[in-house]
Amino acid sequence: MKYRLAALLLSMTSLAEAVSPAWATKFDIDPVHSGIAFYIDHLGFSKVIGVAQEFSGAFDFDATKPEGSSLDVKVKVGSISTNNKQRDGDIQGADWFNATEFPEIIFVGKEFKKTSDTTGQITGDLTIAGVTKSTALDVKFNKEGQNPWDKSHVVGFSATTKVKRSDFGMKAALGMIGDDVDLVIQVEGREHQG
Amino acid sequence: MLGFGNSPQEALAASLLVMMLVGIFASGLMRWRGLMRPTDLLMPAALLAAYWLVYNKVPAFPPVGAVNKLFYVIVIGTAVGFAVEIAAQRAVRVVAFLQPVAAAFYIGLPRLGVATWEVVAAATVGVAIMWLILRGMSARAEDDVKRGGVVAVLALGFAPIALLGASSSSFQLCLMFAAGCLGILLVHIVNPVFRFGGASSIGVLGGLISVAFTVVLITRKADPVAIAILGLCVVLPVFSEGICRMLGVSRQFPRLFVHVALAVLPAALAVAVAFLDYGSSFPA
Repeated sequence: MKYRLAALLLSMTSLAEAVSPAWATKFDIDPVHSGIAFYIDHLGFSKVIGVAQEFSGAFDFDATKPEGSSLDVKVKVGSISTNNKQRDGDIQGADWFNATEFPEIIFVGKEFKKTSDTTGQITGDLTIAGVTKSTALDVKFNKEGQNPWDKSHVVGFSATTKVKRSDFGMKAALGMIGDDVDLVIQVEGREHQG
Repeated sequence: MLGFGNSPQEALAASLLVMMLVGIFASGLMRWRGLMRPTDLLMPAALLAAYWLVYNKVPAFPPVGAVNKLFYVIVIGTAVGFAVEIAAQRAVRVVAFLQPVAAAFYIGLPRLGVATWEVVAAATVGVAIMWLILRGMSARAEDDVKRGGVVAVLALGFAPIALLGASSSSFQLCLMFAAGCLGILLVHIVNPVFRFGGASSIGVLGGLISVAFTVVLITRKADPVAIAILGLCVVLPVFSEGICRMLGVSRQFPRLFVHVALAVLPAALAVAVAFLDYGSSFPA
């Protein structure tokens, strides 16, 4: 009976480890030191740069066990800027991000893979304009430690990925404006307080 | 030698030419075969072809987002309209007047609660447009060609307003549809054998009104003054018969010309107003 109980407790512990990152630290994305930028081709001459100015999110992370991480990010579509007021208004429309119907872009990490000591891949569901596609982020672990200024526990990553806007139903001006969108992400997470 | 496809403008011009030629061919074929009732499906086919050329897809059902909803508004409107046309022609107008209300609430769903009055106003304007185009005139082929002509002008006038209102897809959709209509109607300028019935009223006019709903309610950047002026496209032709009588114009083609010209005038003015308001700030 004693052995059965021990085995049951052991299996429950393993299950808990498998489904939730019990020992991972919870971090909130620090928007002041994080950024999301995208690059999109314009007629082959240049890449227009856009940034998301308002986003939020949190993640669980343990450097010794990155596979057990979690990640949720939300980007406010209305905050996307391409350094041109007219165009910024245009991309909010039904042909593009359709901010009226879909005011947020959401990414939820599903699978976290370590590819080297400092790199990894996060595969998750990216939802833009109501369309959800599996998307993989190539992630570089930069540093984890104490911020010397305020002594907070901080971890930082850089990430890149490429998505096709047409996959998310955005097919306007495909001959002129590129289909491939390069995303560059810098994230600084501060340990969640409270 | 013309190098069609070398620039986006040339690609668009090529698409417009193809739409017009296919319109002439399909419409001519039906006329040659003496098919009257199926001509009611020509304008819906032009609108769906334009949709497919612009968006390169048949959206999944149930549709997500206004642009995808639009496709099913056109398809279902055409199917319902054609069925009503065959089963109970007198009921076409009743169903047609319900279409803008249903479409406004369907496409404007995300605005309900936030700006319900905008959805109600859009539905009201949609019903008014439907009524003004379908009112008065008989089911004679000549009157149906006039209706088709006004709808084509409405699409042509709305295209630049949509572009300046941040919807380049709606711009292309409206232009391609208008080109298709031009081809379809050219065949019926003289001694028409054409029907603007249930499918055209509910599928096409309702669909076109729904394109406007997408730009006005969802993209929310259309120039309201230009749209109000464009609305005169459906008001002025009401006076065409009176003007023709006053001018002593009695032949079929000049009467059609006067009718469509009365729609073109406010459309041209609306486009000019939209360019004056927004044209300079449009990024190339």
